[in-house]
Amino acid sequence: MKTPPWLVVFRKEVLDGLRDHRSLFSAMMFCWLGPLLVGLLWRQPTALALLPAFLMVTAFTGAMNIANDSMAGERERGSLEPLLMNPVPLSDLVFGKWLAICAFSLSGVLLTLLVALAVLYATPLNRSIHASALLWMLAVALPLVPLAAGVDLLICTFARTPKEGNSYLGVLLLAPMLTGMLAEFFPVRLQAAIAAVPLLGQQRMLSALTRGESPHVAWLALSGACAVLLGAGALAATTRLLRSEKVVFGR
Amino acid sequence: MIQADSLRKSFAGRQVVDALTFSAVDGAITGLVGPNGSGKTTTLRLITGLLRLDEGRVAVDGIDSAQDPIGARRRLGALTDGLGNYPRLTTREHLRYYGELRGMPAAELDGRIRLLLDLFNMREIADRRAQGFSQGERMKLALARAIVNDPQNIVLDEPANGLDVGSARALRTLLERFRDAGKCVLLSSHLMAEVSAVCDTVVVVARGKVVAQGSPAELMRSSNARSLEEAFMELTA
Repeated sequence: MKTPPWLVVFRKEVLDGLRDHRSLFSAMMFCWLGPLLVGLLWRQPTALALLPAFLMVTAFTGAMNIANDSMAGERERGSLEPLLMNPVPLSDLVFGKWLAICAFSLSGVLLTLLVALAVLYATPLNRSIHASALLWMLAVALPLVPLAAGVDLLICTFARTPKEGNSYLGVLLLAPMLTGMLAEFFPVRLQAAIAAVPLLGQQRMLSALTRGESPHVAWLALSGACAVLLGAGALAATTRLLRSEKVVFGR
Repeated sequence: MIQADSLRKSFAGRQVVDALTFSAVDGAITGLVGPNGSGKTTTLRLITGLLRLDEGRVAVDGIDSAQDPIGARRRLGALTDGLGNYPRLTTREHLRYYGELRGMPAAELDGRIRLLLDLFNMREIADRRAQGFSQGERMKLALARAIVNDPQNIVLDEPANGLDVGSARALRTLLERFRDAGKCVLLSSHLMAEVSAVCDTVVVVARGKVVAQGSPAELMRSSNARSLEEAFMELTA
């Protein structure tokens, strides 16, 4: 039986990513740091308000290293050229890589929520919100996975080296970080137009969940669809970028 | 068989490949030689379809690489200048990755991997990760990976670069085996000793144009030279 090329690429990237222990460790640090900080600050009435920002950040940090290695790294070590010479449509190669990045991003989100669950039970914070709210948080944060994977991949395709990729990705991290923090200081009211803005929509919904409010399913679907669409757009742009000779062979 | 017909390619207004025509036939090793910057790598990239032609036509076993790039690539295995191994994957995993990408069924791929490990004398490094491989081992791995699906045409960009004497000899033996098996082997090089030792036909390129082609003996005869190196200097002056 022939394995579809995107699945072949996906499996290779996951295996390669899992063997990069140092990158895995650094990505995991983001996952437990946030919830632990929330736990340490449990006496503060706004401790839980930190969680949305960290959760959104881990979707991006989980994707970062593998996106950088599988695209900018691929070019730096000279493996992109032989890879592109395989009799496989470019879209399959990009899709397989993106899917693998999604897997790592999703792992980041899940690990953050698991640590948050442990913190919830270890502190009196479970009187503020119910554990089931974490499941709703997963539903809200899930569409950030394809978005983060797509945008990270696009940036790392544009970058000529992993070093350059890292500096762009560092700047990109400001988006979930600042959205997560500023939206707590300047809380815009959640409405359809706000829900449709990727990151901001998620932040407002996650924030509402940390205050024990019940989720608005229609807005959740709207925010999810917008984030996934943007991720798909980044994926298409990556494929387009890789058709450029300048991008494949450096500028 | 690889046919290149009037290939043209320019970068930022500079004509790098200029109406270049030649063919590399089955059962022979064809060398594309020329000084640095003469357009050898660009020509090979045009043949493998990684660069788009401004003008001209490349046919791999009669398949037009512009009209059916995937069909042409299926019949082509290429070793690039950078080799490009994955440091965290083993030799066997590299071969499996490319074999699967090239659409080989699992049972056939297992047998092919065993055969390649023997042919390239890589049994010892079969399950070692590529990180820390010597240049010779890296080259063998990249070449084995490129021909994992047993393509009829094999293209190599400066394959002897950085190889020690032993690895260079092993490479030569491999290339001769491919030729004897009826494959079409096309390599680029600027090392005249390598070319005269292994190539049946030499295509001399200078400033993106073919300036001469023939067997090493024919090229020496036509330029009244005692060695291929002398002939090369004469032809590319």
